[in-house]
Amino acid sequence: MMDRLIATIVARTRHHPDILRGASVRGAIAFKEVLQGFVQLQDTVTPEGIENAALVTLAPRIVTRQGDYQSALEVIRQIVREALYGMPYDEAEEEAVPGEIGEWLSPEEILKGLKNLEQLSRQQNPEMAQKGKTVVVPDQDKYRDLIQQLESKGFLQKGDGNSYQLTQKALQHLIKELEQKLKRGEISEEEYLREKGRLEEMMTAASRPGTRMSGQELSETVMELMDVQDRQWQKEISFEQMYIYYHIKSMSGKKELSPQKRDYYGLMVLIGDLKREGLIKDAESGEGFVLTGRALSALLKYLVSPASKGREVKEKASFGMVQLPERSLDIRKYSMGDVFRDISVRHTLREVVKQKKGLSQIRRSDLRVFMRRRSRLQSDVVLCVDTSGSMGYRHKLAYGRLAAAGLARAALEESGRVGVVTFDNFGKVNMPLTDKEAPLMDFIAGLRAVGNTNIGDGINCATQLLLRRPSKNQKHIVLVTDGRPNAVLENVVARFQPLKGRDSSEEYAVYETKRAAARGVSVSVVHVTDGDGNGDEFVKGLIKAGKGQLHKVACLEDLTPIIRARSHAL
Amino acid sequence: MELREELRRSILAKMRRRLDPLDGFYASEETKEAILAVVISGRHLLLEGPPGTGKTTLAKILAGHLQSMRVAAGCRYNCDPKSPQCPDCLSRKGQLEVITIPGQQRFIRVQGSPELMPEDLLGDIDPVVAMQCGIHDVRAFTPGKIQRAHRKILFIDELNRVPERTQNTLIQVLEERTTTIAGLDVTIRVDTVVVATQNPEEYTGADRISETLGDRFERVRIDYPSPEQEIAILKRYARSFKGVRLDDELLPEIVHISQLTRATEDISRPASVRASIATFEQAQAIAQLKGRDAVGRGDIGEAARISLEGRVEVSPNSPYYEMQGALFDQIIKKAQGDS
Repeated sequence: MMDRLIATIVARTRHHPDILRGASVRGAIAFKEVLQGFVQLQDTVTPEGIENAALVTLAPRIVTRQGDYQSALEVIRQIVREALYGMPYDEAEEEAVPGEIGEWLSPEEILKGLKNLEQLSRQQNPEMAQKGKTVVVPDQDKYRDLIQQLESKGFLQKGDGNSYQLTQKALQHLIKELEQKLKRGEISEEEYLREKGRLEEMMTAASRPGTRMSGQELSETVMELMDVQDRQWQKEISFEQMYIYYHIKSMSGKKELSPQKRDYYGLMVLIGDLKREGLIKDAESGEGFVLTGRALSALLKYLVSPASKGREVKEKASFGMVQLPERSLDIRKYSMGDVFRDISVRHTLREVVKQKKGLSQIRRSDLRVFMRRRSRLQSDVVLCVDTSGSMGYRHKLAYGRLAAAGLARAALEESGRVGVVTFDNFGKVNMPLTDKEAPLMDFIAGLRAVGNTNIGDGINCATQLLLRRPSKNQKHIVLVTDGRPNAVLENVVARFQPLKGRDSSEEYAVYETKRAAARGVSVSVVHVTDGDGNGDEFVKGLIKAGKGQLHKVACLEDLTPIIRARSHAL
Repeated sequence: MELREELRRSILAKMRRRLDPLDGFYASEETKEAILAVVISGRHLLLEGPPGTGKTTLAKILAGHLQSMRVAAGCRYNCDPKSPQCPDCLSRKGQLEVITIPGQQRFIRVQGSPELMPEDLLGDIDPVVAMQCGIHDVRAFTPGKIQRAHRKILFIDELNRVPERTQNTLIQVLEERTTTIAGLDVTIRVDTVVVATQNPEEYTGADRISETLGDRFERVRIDYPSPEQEIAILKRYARSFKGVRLDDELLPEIVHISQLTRATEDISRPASVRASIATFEQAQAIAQLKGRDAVGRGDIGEAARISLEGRVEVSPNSPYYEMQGALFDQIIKKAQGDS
């Protein structure tokens, strides 16, 4: 009996919609043993004992969608109660908590409950309810179970203190019910409109994000802002453009927009909120607003956070930068030239024991040597970003910005220096090498796309920037581009004389890359691609010439390894 | 008798006599019950909680349940004289001297840190002995903390700070209760119950333990004690100085200060129980320095300020980030006003 119950509960953790990874077999065994412990403590099986044993053994072992421990506890508690009161279990039935908790509420009951609570709050606290914000719940046992259940279904959200807030979902339910009432003729149209207006007001209030915007919403909004910025090839975004953009987006109907983005005034509030958060700021020209580096940082933070759909990215982009050993306790075989004091007696002896040899038989190959901790080399990284017109389509520049920002941050964290070169018709040094994050980020956020693609001149520019002052630092160029070059300067063609039948702009880019590599600068590429294979060959040729690495970006998820490329990469 | 069986019997015997097996550890009844259930079931325990909630105290209390044990004298693996298992004792079978180790000492403590190496836990060859007796001699191998925890409780503090490579050495012990000594081809039984602690994931700088390891532990959360429990802790564990008196009416005040730091959002790292104890002791010291024989409320405020300053971290989002002192003053004032 007990085993069946345990098996049921454990099996449910493996199929529950809110659980990403269920409990292991070891978890089931632990559950049983700990439950026996509870039984021995209390001399009897109680539902609380079962619940507590499950909370101790199963909750830490599962991974929920929300990803935190609190939600794991909630889910396990729910599963145990379902299993306990859903199956014939004599002892449990006697002590079962009477009434509502074990049962599911029907839709009618939910509506009734919501309605009651809502009216109650209006009576109790008319001015709060007027603001349409909060449902205050009295301290009455009568409502407690109901509230708990509504909360678990996502109709209520706990606010501060003793108050609850109706969620959008609940409000939508209420509106739907109103509509049906009208259809059935239970209420007059006038009443309907009045009620509906009130509920809708509550809805806008409920959806007001303030500082509480979730990571996903925030990152989506920043992506949308970048989209607008890229569509019009301008740095400044105006409010009207934003509104039209959202209007078109909602008409295309691909995705449900939040009510705030659909509504004119809602959008104004949203923009105001973003400004207050420092994600956007008023443009210097006085018209519209521009994205700040802070917005990029927020988006980067979201992309690497575990909350972004639990994507586990093992690989890390390294862009040909030399990896230095971090632990000095690593050992390796002896090789000629190693110093005596680096030899580890301990590890050597262990090796000899392993081979079952005597001390007299030790050979050179048995000696083990500590790896020496090499002093960390600093690196200078120049981000060479393609800002040609073609980058403006399909979020490409947005990805480019993110990749650049992520790399810049990674390099700065490793106390390196970062510079930015952009190129369209010709290359231009926009940011000399610096170790300050804020101006870099602000500049990267404000990139815009227009013109042709002259990769060769971009690399030329970047190389000059790196070699301007002599330094011992490792030097890297990271080219962020969407593919093939289509421009080259006239005087260059005259000097450089490309082979016949070859694209001179491509040839020139490879030539400049080779020159950079010969002067000790590695060239890696972040290829922002449409996935059509266009430019693949060219890019491969580039990294071969530049002794660097290639990273392809076709969607937002591809960016994660670049952004995660922190300490190990550089 | 296996260690876990011994623990189980000892705890159940205490319960039958209506005594609290966890006397001296203060937490909610549910937490205590969960801990006891895990220990009785003979599984390994992972205590999770902020610093200063009595995790180490708890492990020591558990060790206190063990009886004294007979050990072969000089054995580094704590062999039972009746059934020795290490090569050393086996070779001397029949002529083993026996000594007795009191229950309180059946406790091995490992402090987790990023520098903890697998060799520290699993043992390694001692180069000096190896040179003297030859490297294949059993004596050349120095057992690590794990082997030495045979028939004892193995307490690992801050498990989450241990590097993953070292964490993995624990897996065999936890599951099979044996270790293999590389190079000597000897399998040593390690009869132990592991009690480990870790700080919650929310804590900055805390890494998580690997999934495979986590699956072998039962995790119990320990939270800060309630005010009443904390007062009891003060009475039991804090030192009272001679020649100076601290009235019991002042205890709630001391505890209230610490509790307030845990309730406000301005503080990212609140005061632990240790902070309360520090306040308690320092208040007496301050009163004594001023030549009084009773602690006044002013002394408590002064002492609290000192103990909060070093421990409590103000959240960077708080308006008080730049002026911690003002926040502490405000908290102390509020606590003294309330009680």
